[in-house]
Amino acid sequence: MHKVLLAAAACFLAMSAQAVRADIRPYDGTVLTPQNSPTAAVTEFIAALNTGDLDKAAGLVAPSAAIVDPNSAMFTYHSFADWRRDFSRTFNGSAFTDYRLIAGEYLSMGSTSDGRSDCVMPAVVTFRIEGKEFHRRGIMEFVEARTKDGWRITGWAWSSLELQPFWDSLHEPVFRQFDLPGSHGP
Amino acid sequence: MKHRLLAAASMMLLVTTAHAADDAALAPFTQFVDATNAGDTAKAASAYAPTVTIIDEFGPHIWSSYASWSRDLAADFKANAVTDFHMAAAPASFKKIDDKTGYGVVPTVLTYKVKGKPISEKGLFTVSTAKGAKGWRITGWAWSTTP
Repeated sequence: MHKVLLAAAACFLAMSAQAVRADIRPYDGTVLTPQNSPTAAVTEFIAALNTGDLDKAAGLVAPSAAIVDPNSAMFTYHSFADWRRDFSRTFNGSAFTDYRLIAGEYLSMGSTSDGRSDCVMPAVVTFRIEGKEFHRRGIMEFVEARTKDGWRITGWAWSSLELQPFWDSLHEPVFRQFDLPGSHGP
Repeated sequence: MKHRLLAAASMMLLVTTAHAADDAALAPFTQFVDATNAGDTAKAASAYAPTVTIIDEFGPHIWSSYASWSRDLAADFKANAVTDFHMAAAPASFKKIDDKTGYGVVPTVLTYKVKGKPISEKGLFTVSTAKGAKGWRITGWAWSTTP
């Protein structure tokens, strides 16, 4: 009986994995770029933020992007320029330094036939305050649209997972993929 | 002893006032949830500022008004035979509130039926609000399904 149950469980797991992967095409050698891939646009955007190249980041975001972000001076922005202004103000000439955004494996991803896309991932922001390292954990959701110039980010939201022990423990497996430096906070 | 009691009472008053301010800032979201569950779209709509950002996991994924999101949700439900939609929102697990803007993360379970089959979906509503001339209103939210 035990073996039958184990076999059934294994079969179920295999079917689940197959269902998840059913819509992913085999790799055909295409190089993924923001021209042809919404995920590449997000990856390049995060890389640009982490290297401090905000001009490059801006090139991957629609000018009127909507941003929900509690870590900036306002909580909702209706333009990337406004978010960029506050982001730069925080990390230029203040005690905050060494900003880094690390994104984890996608939790969900979807796109429509008319060129809209949405993806959700766990993420960690690390930074230093007067040299001391901190991190914050959250869930990031990016939405994108396909334009004549390729995929562009039209909005994102940061869902903070700080200060919530129950929820943290629920998501602990999701965050094991990160090598978390420093401490929570501030 | 009397001074200590007074100090404790003042502290309690401060804490209560802070909680009341937090509750007021996120009250429009509660109104939206309760009104949606009751099928009262007019009351749900009145919880929103005129210009909002809504990010959701069905296409087109981003909206700038409650009316357009609500219209597309209804169309999506009709196309996919979704009925009995209900949102069960927990207290906000993270809040950041000042005198004019609010932000909260609200763990929520959505339940609904697809062609009669019950489905439940766990996730986070990330909500922003602002206080204007007519009081606190929702300025944006994002729904993220979580494991």
